[in-house]
Amino acid sequence: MGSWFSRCPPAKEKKPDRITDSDRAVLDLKAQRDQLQIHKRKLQSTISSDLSAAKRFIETKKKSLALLALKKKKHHETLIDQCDQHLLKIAELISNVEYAQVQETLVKALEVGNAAMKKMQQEISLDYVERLVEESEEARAYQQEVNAMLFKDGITDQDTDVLADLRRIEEEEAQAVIENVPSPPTAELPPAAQEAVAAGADDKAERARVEKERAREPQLVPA
Amino acid sequence: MRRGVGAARFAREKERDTRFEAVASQLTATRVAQAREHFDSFRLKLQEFALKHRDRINKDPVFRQKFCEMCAAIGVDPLISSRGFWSRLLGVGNFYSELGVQVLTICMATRPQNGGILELSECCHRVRRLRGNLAPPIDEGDIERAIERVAVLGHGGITVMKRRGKTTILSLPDELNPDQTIVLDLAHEKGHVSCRQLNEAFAWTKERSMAVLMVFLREGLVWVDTQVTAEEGGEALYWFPSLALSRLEEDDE
Amino acid sequence: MESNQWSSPTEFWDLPPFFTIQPTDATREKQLSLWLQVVCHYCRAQRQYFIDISERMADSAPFHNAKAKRKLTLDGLRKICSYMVQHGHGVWMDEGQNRMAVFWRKPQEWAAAIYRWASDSGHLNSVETLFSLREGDDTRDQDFHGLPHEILLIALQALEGQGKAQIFRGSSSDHDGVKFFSQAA
Repeated sequence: MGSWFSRCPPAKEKKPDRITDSDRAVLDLKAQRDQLQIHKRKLQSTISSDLSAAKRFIETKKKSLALLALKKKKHHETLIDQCDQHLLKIAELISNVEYAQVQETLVKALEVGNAAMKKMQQEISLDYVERLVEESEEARAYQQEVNAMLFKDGITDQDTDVLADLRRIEEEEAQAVIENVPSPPTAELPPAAQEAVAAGADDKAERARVEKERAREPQLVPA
Repeated sequence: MRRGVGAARFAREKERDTRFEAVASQLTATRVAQAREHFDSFRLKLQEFALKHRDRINKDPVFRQKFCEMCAAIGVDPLISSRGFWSRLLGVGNFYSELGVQVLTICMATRPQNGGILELSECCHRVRRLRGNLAPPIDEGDIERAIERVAVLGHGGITVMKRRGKTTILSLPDELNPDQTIVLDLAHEKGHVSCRQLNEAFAWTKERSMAVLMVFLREGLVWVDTQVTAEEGGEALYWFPSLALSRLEEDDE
Repeated sequence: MESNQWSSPTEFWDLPPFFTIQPTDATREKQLSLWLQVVCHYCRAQRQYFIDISERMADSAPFHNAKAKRKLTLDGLRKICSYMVQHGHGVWMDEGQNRMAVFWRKPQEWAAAIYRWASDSGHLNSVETLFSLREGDDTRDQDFHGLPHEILLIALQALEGQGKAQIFRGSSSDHDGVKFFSQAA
């Protein structure tokens, strides 16, 4: 049984690399942060040794040395302050980068959503929709025809009343038109106008004939 | 049907016999009825008693022991019957078979370290731990009684050895020969033995001592200790773990 | 002494023959398994992660019992360590087998603890340095805080094996980092 370390260097190649460049950048930043932390710890320990040195010098009445030690301590304290400033900055940077990473994934998600939407829209073309609408219109018309056929007999039985109504209204309309017509000129009608009047009379006769035929139709159907 | 003189006599004798028998059986029946009555009333009393003190029998080891003694004196064994009304009534029969199984389990579990030699007190301690705090308390007497029940399972099972005020449970595959028995006996004193000790105690030759010790070692009954200091004798010591550990505990207390 | 507050998980530790490796197979097997418990228990209590096959080691707890006046020989110490390695509770750190990392928790257990932390503290899909896992403020109350680099690496390799993490190096520094994944690749 050998040591595990001989055969386990970090990052085995056989697995797919899931580390992006920005991951490496974040790692570098965090490594810097660690370095600062280590440095800070070192400074903190020097401060405590400065302090104990100062105390020792005071006990042995070496005032100048004690002062020097305290000065050193002061200096180290400012260094720690600086360290903290840097740490703050780097932490800010790290969180910005990490936030940007999150944003990036967000944007990617949006992209994917967008593409999916587009793809779906492509599948549903306008022509296709038009055709669909047309088809459904045709279907509706067909349905109506079917309905008409089915109910035709029923309607024609009661039709006479309706038709009579229609006739009456038409006559009224016609009457109105006639009434509104300016009073005829005293002069004789020109021959063309006389013909037109005669044609109107023909019209009426024609309509009456058609109606008569229609009234006969039901008797035909059962046969 | 034919009837001869011989046949008539035979019939008469038979009739007489039948009468005798009737009288006899009547007598017997009366006696049986009486006995049954006695028995019933006794059983009723015992049942009443057991029911009344059921909790105490189950919870109080000393009381349980007295109850067992009383039952034993009148030839009733409430413990051995696991299916009778006693166990239904008290759960006592189950109590001892359950305890017996627990003791056996512990003997088996500790055999790799002690080779099958277990101090009664240590066994009791382990049984208590196994049963947990909620189970009714048990004492060493209970364990001995439980072992008696399982001992009937047959030869080569589990036995109890009492030496020098100590009780040891032996669960060994083979029975000990006389040499081995006295060595084990001697070991109860200190928890360990050495060649010199055996020589001093029994005037054995080194070969005879080593023969016994090697068997013990091979069977896992003893652990050898080769780092013995000069003031301890400087000679390899053979320790019986369970015996030694119970001594260590006593030293601590 | 260092072992003042420590008490052995088995009373066998107080027994003098416990410090002599037993010649009988079955007994030795039991003895070594008890030693495994003792070593793991001791190292866990003392936060000790390595055992050297050295006289100094054999002279200190738990391999030395002043009360019983017994200590292990180097050979005995080596046998115990080999047993631990065999049972997944240790790994030799060098070819010569003179230094063993003690797994008082097995690497898989460390791995699970680290992953649980990463998941609970929102570190999934993000990058962390090995240093900050070991010594950072974020992991101060975690059991794996203070784990030596070598053992941490083994634990993370276990996670890597499960596809839950990847160990890598930064572009400009040679610091080890790890990225935890929310799901295995």
